[in-house]
Amino acid sequence: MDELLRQGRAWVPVLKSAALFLLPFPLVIAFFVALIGGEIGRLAAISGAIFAFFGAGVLTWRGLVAEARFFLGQRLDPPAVPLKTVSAILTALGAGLAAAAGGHGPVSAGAFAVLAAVGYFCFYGRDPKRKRIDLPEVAGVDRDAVTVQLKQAYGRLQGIEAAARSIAVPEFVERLKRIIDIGKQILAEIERDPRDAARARRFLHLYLDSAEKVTVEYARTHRQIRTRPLEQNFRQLLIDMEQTFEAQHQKLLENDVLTLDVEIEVLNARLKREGIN
Amino acid sequence: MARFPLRLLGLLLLTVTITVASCQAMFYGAALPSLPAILKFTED
Repeated sequence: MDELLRQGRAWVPVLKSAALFLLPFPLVIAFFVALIGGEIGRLAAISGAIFAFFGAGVLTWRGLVAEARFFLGQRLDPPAVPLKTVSAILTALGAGLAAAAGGHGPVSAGAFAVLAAVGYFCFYGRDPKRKRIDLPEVAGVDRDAVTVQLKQAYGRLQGIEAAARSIAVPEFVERLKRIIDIGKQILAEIERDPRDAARARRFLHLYLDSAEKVTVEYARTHRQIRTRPLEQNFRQLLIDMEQTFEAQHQKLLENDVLTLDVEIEVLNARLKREGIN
Repeated sequence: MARFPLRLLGLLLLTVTITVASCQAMFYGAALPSLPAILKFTED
C-alpha cells in the first residue's frame, strides 16, 4: 500500500504534464487531413505545433519531477536549464502555429500564443530559484565543501517543511516552523562565517538529518494511525529538537562574541604597543 | 492571488487556447453544414 501511495505521488507531475499531450490531440487528426490533402504549408505548421506541444510536455514532466525532488530536499539545486520557461515558450509556439494552421492571421495567432504562455505559467508555476550561497574567503576553510554542506542542510530543512505541510496537528506544525526558523538562522550564521561549519558539524550532519527523517516518517505514519502515545513522543521529540537547535544557535552567537572579544583585545594590545593608546 | 484559483485559471486558459486552436486546425477548410441546412435535414 505504501509503495502504491509513493508511486501515486510520483506520478502526480506526470498527470499534470499530460494536459500538454492530450489537449492538442485534434492536431494529430489535422495532420493526416493535411497530409491527404497535400497542403504542405499547413502540414508544416501542424507538425511544428505537435512537436512544440509534445516537447513542452516532456520538458514540463522532467521539470516538475526535478522541482519536487528539489523541494523534498532530494537534490541540491533546481535544474540548471529553466525547463518550465523553455516549455512555456514551446507551448506558446505550438498554440501560435496551431492557430495559424486554423486560418488565423499573425495578430490573432500571436494572441493565442500569449494566452497559452500565460495559462502555462498560471497552471505550472515558474521555475524554482537557485539558492545563492556566497561564502566569504576565510583561511583554512574549504569553501566548496562548506557550500555543499549548506546546500544539503537547506535541502533537509525543505524536506522538513514539505513533511510539515502534510501533518494535520496545528501544534506540531507550529513547532516545526519554529525549528525550521532556528535552523535557517544557524545556516545564515554559517554563511556569514564559514568557520562555524566546523563548530556546527553535529548540527549539520546528525541533528538535521535525524530531524528530517523523523518528521517525514511521522508525517507518513500519522496518516494511517494516530495514537496518543505516538503523538506524545513526537511532541517531546519536537521540544527537545527545538531546545537543541536553539542551544546550537546560542553556541555560534557566543562564539561570535568571544571572537569579537579576542579581536578587540588584540587591537587594543597593538594600539598600546604602538603608543597610540 | 491564492494558488488554487490561479492554477484553475491557468488550466482553463491552456485548455481553451490549445483546444480551440487545435480544433480550428482540424476543421480548417472542412465544409461544415449551415444551420438552415441542418434544420432542413432534420425536418426531412
